[in-house]
Amino acid sequence: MVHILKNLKKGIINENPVFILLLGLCPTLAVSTSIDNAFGMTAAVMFVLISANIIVSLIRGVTPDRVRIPVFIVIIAALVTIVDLTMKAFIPELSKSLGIFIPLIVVNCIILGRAEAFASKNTLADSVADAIGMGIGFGVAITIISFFRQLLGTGEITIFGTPVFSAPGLFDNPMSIFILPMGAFLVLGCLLATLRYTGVIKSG
Amino acid sequence: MSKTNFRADIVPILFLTVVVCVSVIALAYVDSITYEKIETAKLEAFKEKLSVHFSDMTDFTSNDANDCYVVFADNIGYAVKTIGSGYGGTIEMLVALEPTNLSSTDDLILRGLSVISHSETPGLGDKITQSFFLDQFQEVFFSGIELSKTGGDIDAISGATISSKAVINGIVSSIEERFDSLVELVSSVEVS
Repeated sequence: MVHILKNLKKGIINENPVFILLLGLCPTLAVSTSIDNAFGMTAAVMFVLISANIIVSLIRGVTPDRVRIPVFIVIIAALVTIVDLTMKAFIPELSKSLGIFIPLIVVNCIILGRAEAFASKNTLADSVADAIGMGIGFGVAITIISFFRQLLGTGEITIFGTPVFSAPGLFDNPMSIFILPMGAFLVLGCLLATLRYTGVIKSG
Repeated sequence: MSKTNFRADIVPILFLTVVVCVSVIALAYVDSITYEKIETAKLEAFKEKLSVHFSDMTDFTSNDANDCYVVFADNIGYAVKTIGSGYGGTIEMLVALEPTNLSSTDDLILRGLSVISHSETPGLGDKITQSFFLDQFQEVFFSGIELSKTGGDIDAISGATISSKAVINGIVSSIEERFDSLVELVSSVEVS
């Protein structure tokens, strides 16, 4: 039990996929333009991450080593397509706002990374714990990045379409650069530097 | 490698084949149960887009290419799907038209505009989906679809001139291109 909790916790801080492992940066940087996007992406990643870890962990005993990566990729791609189709059919509103992010999950290396580095070597329970922890860690990271990008880039914070906070000076003259791709790098770089400088994350 | 080793060489191939087959079967199954639902959801979403402009819409009909529509309401109405090429890719729009005389594009009056899909920059170009921009396309003559700085009725979004221009160019070129099929569709509806 302690073991499982440890696996759950490590994804959130000590091995945070975005801030420490620097995995899955492509979708993180691309999608983090608003808090809503961050929440939606987290939900989708969480589902695929957990399902992929479950399947990979279950077949870890029979998967031949030489073809394990193609096998993982096929499983992840199939899962993402299933999520995509199911969402389109049953919750079209959500699917519309997440539209382009769902296929992006296939190339999110957090999922392949965890399948390869963890689920292919560990038990089912540990793999599920790892997936949940990594999912939360990803969610926390992308939400923090989105918060700064949305605040600086548009001058207001909206959650599920409702404005919750608006910075008076910024709203009239937003720094649009933070909404653009290069703003993602600026925010991520500054966050990483701050986290390291303050010792929240340890280098090496 | 002179001799084929079954365990080392054949088993991985078979395993991968099995995984792919199982995935394909799973996908085919999911597709078979979701296909109709997705199509209905798409149709519903499109109907909703149309009914924004035609609040009393009862039904609509489209041509084979699915880019021109006749809307049945208290008063008949027309709609055309238009495509513009924006800063981030294709902008797909729906132009609602008043039921005017269809002798030439000059007589057309826009009833409204909505954006179906786009990939413009969030925070800049994606303002084309906001009402302050879209409302400018209500009750304007087709000839007025031009930026105000070149004499038209439409104000560009500051910081997103390319996206604004793409919307306008898309409307103009698509309507000119699809005008004949709209006329054809309207006359076929009126005959039947």
